[in-house]
Amino acid sequence: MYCEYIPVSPLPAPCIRASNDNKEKCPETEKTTVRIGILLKQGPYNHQASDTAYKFAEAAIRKGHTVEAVFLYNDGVINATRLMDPPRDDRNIAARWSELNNRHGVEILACIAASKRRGISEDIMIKGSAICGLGALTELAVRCDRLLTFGD
Amino acid sequence: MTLHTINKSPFESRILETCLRFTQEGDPILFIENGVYAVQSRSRFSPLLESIRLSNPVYALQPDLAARGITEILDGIKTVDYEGFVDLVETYKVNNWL
Repeated sequence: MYCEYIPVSPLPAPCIRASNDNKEKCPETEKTTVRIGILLKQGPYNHQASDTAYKFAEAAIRKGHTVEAVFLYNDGVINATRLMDPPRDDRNIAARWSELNNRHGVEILACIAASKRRGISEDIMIKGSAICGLGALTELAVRCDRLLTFGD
Repeated sequence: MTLHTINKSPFESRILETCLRFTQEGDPILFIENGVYAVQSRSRFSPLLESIRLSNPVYALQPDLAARGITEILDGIKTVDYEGFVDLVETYKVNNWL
């Protein structure tokens, strides 16, 4: 099961492209838009990475760019547990990612090997998230114009 | 040109020095998270930052400066919010130094 591979979505042709020269213009606003992928490698509440990644994604979407997916790796997979229950006056990091998926179609992908090691399985994951293999990260890097890493 | 982001304080990590060995003239450098401590004025790293600024545009993420109570930063360092961060990412390829 460790090499289980769930494809994210069909690749646009051609599959392999230079990763910084396909900025597109939005037909309505004439603004340049980029496709962004995010790699998140730290757990929630113990490092600022989850918050920086979320705020960056939010701002990118607000500016009309596409955030294709957030790939959770290492302790980052803990971002996807729906068991977290922070105090009411604090942000719920997992729910925030789920909301991003629901509203803007951002895929929340958790690495299977990292998830299995940390007890993260599909039955305790937030709505809109999925478990996948590292191949999905490669695919994300290929199909996005930019891949940003947040972590320690 | 490539945007380099630094997320660690120069007091805790040598990643800024490592990054500088790879930056080309003109590459923008953006300090985020604890990295913003680098742009404080009158610190041990001020002379280094002053010299970087001569060849590279230097930015710092304003919300992270505010979160750390840093109000006095070196001259010539531009502050950006998250939208400014997005603009830099749109303009340049990105290398996130961790």
